[in-house]
Amino acid sequence: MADRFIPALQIRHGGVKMEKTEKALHTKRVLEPAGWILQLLTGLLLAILVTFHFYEIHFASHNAMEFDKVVERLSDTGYKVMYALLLLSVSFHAFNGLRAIAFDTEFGLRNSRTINAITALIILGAFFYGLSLLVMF
Amino acid sequence: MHLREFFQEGDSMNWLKWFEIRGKSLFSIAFSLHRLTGVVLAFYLIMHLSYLTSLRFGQEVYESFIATTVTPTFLVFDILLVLAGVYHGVNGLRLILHEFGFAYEIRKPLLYFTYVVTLIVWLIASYQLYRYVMGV
Repeated sequence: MADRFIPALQIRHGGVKMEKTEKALHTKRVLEPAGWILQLLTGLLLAILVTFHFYEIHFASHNAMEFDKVVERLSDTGYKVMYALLLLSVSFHAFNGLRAIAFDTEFGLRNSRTINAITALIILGAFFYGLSLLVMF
Repeated sequence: MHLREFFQEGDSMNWLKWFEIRGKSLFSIAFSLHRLTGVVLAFYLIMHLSYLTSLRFGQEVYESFIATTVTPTFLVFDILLVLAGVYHGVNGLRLILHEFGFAYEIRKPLLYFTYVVTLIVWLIASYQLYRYVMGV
């Protein structure tokens, strides 16, 4: 599949002309090196943090979702730091991933600057909104 | 922004192609599933943050949300969500391994292994969710 090229089409992406080929569909090819590396690193971090979060809520006890227990966890500094890290990783990973999907369309490539700006705003918005819930306790 | 541009006929980068299975390699299907589950999880993230907003309004509002969502009716959605999460996570780890140059020579067996691990983890997690929701 990887070697089956479609007719090349010149597309401008981040100021650089690139050929739209099937190889260019790969997420790595549409993100900048930093965007791709951070996607991998946050993915690794999430595999650990989400597993821990799921274990904590559904395996460790039967009342972890009760209001008092939630408040107790969110009042703990260790949990606060862990949740802040989880929030930052998941916000970046999710919306950077959606950005990569957008760049897999001609529309996305043509409007890359706007999409980058919107993505940055959404990542920061989600992170700071989640953080505002964390610091309440 | 015109929706028509997203659905542009003949656009080989059209995301609707993710849903095509015929003639695709297992790796392409894994890629499509990775993206589909990613989109589902991104939407869930927004829902989860909205849900947690109920904490702002105190115990009564939060518990009414819990009473509505932690129910047998929602269990089906939760179990499907766990499937999406487990697949995205396990397949993502496979992609990271390959990205760093590991296990590329056994990429096909590793892909099968990914599906087996996903199935096992999903069944265990789903059983645990079932016990949690049903109070077993």
